[in-house]
Amino acid sequence: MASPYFRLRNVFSRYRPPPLLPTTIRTIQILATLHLVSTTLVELRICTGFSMLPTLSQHGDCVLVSPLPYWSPFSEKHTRSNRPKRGDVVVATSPMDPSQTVCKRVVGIEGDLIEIEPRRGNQRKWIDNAGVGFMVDVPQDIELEGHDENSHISHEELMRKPKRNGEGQWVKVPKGHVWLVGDNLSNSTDSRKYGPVPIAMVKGKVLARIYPNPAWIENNLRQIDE
Amino acid sequence: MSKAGTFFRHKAVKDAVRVLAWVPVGIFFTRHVYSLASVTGGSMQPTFNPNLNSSPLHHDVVLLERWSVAINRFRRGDVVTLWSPQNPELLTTKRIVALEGDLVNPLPPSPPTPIRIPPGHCWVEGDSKYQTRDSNTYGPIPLGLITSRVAYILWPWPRRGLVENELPTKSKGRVRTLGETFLQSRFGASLNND
Repeated sequence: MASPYFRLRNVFSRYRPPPLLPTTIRTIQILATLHLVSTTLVELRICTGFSMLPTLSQHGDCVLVSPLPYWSPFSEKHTRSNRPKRGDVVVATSPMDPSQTVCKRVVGIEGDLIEIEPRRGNQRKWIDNAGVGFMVDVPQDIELEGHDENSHISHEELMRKPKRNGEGQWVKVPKGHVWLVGDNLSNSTDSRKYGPVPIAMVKGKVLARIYPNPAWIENNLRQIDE
Repeated sequence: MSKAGTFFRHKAVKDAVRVLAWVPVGIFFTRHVYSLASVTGGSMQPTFNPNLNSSPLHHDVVLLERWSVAINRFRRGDVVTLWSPQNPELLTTKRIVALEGDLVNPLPPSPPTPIRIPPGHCWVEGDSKYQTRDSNTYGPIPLGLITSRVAYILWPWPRRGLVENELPTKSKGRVRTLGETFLQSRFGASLNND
């Protein structure tokens, strides 16, 4: 009677499902521990979207996010010494939708004077035509026609060129706020649209990219001497 | 048997692990379900700390309902706690007056032109009839700053009870919601009952 079939039947007849209550309790404890680690220590996150394009790809990069750089032992939130700095890539709650988060670069901190729209030149648009994408110039209403190379362009003619939203407008980042901008200026919904973001919305700093070619995220803002 | 194995077989260690395993569950509960807090200051005065002048050190103890924020349920008239937009270390208590899409007539510190609340934002005001530092000072705030809803007053025992979802008199009649304006344009002003 030692055939494999009987041995198997013996195994299955001896099987009892695990006791329900202890299993549930263990599961809850493990999930709560994972949640605590991900919200206070480090977290792996997938960042999709075009807005950080040279730094993070649009297909969803796995990045390491940690709130620890902005944590201080004596208060529940950020203190003056470890607030977000210029050039940090941060994850913040989206001001447009509280259930979503955005991943952007801190460009200005409180007291900085910032031009809302830093882009210059012709307005160009990304056209996606049946899977083939290319850039085209947005047709401008006023052409500087009838002037040759050596004639002078008057100031008024330059002013008549259509401007981008916020071009030439400067704002001062108010107290307790940061200015978040995506690295891909031409396709990013950021502080240029919704204004400065309160620091309490910043959830953590992006430390490194983990999955496609792992690397630290470095501070690529350049300091210009006066 | 390895060293770690024998270590975890001690009864004292087993008991300690059994107790410590509940700590993350408790932290999760206070962060996302319910927690207690005390309210200081007089910006919500008829609702919290009504006699602050006679007893300036008095704090109301309240129950914070956090799950309603976790599921993104915000209603006009709710009393909520939020991180002050100007000071990320300060948690304040205010009442939601208007949600996204509403048209608000702001009070003195801001210019008296009606403001349309942008998407994902809200307009918060203190209940006090004196000036408080609220949306009239710093404008519409993102909903992501809100951490919890104040559900119940626990401590001064005579005043215990639910925090009512009701706008104070100074905030009434200054908000027009999108739905309201639509219905009024459809059926005339007969719907207006305040």
